Amino acid sequence: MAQTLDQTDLDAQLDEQLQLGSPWITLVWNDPVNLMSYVSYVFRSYFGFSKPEAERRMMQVHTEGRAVVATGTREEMERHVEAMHEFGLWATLQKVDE
Amino acid sequence: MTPFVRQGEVIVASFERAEVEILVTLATDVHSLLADADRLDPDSPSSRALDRLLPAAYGDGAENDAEFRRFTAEGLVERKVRNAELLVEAFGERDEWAGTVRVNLDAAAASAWLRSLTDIRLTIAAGLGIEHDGDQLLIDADDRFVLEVYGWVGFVQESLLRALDPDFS
Repeated sequence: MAQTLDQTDLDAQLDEQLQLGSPWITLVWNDPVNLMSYVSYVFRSYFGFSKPEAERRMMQVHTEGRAVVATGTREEMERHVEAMHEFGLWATLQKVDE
Repeated sequence: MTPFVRQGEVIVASFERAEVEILVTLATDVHSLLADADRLDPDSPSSRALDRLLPAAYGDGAENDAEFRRFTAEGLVERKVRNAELLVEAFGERDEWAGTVRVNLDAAAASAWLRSLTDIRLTIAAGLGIEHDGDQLLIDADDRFVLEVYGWVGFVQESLLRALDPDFS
């Protein structure tokens, strides 16, 4: 249930951000080094995701090679990417349409 | 090493002296690598490790990546160095290391440990050429000891995560 709500909230948030003209995203990429439990910990402790949501995105990184973890302005995404790099996760930012 | 357990406000574990020496050496290696960040040969293993500690933020291999690194590298290096120092400091004074060494980590220290253990693993992985899932299965026999250390550091990290919150593992 929490998973569904989180996803709906995120989609709504993404739509809103797109309308506000701030279409940047932060992506976390799969790497062979970081433990799945650690990636889940980072998603929970930094982004405040619920446990199921953090696990869902961690599994998405693991199986699909990457996952979107945040949307917003370029400056906000640069801040998130810098934080992910401090955690040792491989993160990038890009415009939504790229 | 005894796995980490929670005792009230802190997370505790005991390490054998040889294990402490390994972790301190590894954390010091990361520290030195970061301290030399400005002077690395671009094709060296150290440079590949640094690229994993400070990855490209845009992946365009051009102006955006260079600018992001220019603006963030100093702060990131400073914080990563501090995390490595906190890991080493948790073991106390070297001349008091005898038998087993106990560490007590509060929330801030545990957080620094998790980040520093990650930087250590990223640095070892870059040295071993682990770039894709499954690469660790292709390591040369000569590097088997390093690979074992790499696996053990992962065990330490997993143990810490589990003690912080059983849900994390």
